[in-house]
Amino acid sequence: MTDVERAMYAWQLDVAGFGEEGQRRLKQASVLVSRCGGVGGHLAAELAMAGVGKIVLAHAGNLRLDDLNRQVLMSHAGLNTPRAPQAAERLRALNPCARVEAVEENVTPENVNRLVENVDAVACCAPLFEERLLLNQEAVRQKKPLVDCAMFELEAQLVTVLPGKTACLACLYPAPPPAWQRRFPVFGAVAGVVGCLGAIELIKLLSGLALPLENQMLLCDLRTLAFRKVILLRRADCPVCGGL
Amino acid sequence: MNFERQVPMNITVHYLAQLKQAAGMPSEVIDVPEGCSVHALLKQLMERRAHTLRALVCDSAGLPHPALLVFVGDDQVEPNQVLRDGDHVTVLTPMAGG
Ligand SMILES: [Zn+2]
Repeated sequence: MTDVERAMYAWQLDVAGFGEEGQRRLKQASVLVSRCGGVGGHLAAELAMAGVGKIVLAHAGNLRLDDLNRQVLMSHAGLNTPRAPQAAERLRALNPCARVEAVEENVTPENVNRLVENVDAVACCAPLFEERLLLNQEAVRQKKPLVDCAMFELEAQLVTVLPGKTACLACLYPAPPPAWQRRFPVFGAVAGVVGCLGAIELIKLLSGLALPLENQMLLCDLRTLAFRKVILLRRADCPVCGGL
Repeated sequence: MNFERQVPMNITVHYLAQLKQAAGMPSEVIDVPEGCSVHALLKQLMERRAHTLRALVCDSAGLPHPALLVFVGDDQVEPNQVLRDGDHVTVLTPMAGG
């Protein structure tokens, strides 16, 4: 670790159970962030500032005005230009030590293998179940941990998938749920809460700082500020993780 | 005569996320017959709130959708789980918002 890094991370190096060893592990780690919009943007910012060595941002399309109530890595100056490169640029500004790759694609059956292959862990922050289930399938196949972060209105949920050890997203949702719409009501602050929770899960997983959620779902109701952990069923007959 | 079958149980149903929005309330208390399963409770909810919840709770065959997450207390349960008087049931249509 360089003197600059030691100074930059000084406040977190003092966290009990983390220290220089935890920091070294983060530096060696790589994370795929599927979509760097509201949730993924906050999550990626926290990973970059914490010193995760490599961050791959996968997100297609150009920035729209109605993204800007929650997509913290973007700016008005970037309207109508591709999202992933401007998010990557912002992460590099937050931490020049981070290697950031911008992939101007959403996760698809064609690219999912390659995207997951190149990282140690996956952050699932896409707005469609199809993408989440695809990423889950590939992460389980490659036995890589996946942190699923989702929000709706003033509520958020968080699940960590440890392939072969915990329920996966296909255990929870054997089919894409009904009536989910691409556009949903939400504040950026909700994205910030669940993105930061997801980042904490990844920091714990990658550094060994603490145990992540295991067969649990964290439910957050920000209207009442009630946080609750519920226990998930792992399905022995799950087509994705049943054989592990 | 078997009076037991007539005894209703009080179940408190908590709605989360889209279901809460559609139902227009965070929770309600529902009477169900003794021995009622989670599946039967969901069917009763679909009928009771046909206009608001049905599209979120039903699959194409008119049965409770397999992607619904149901918890009794803090434990996820299967549809065949039998409920007990006083149970708190949380029903969640999963979120994908990113
Ligand atoms: Zn599974």
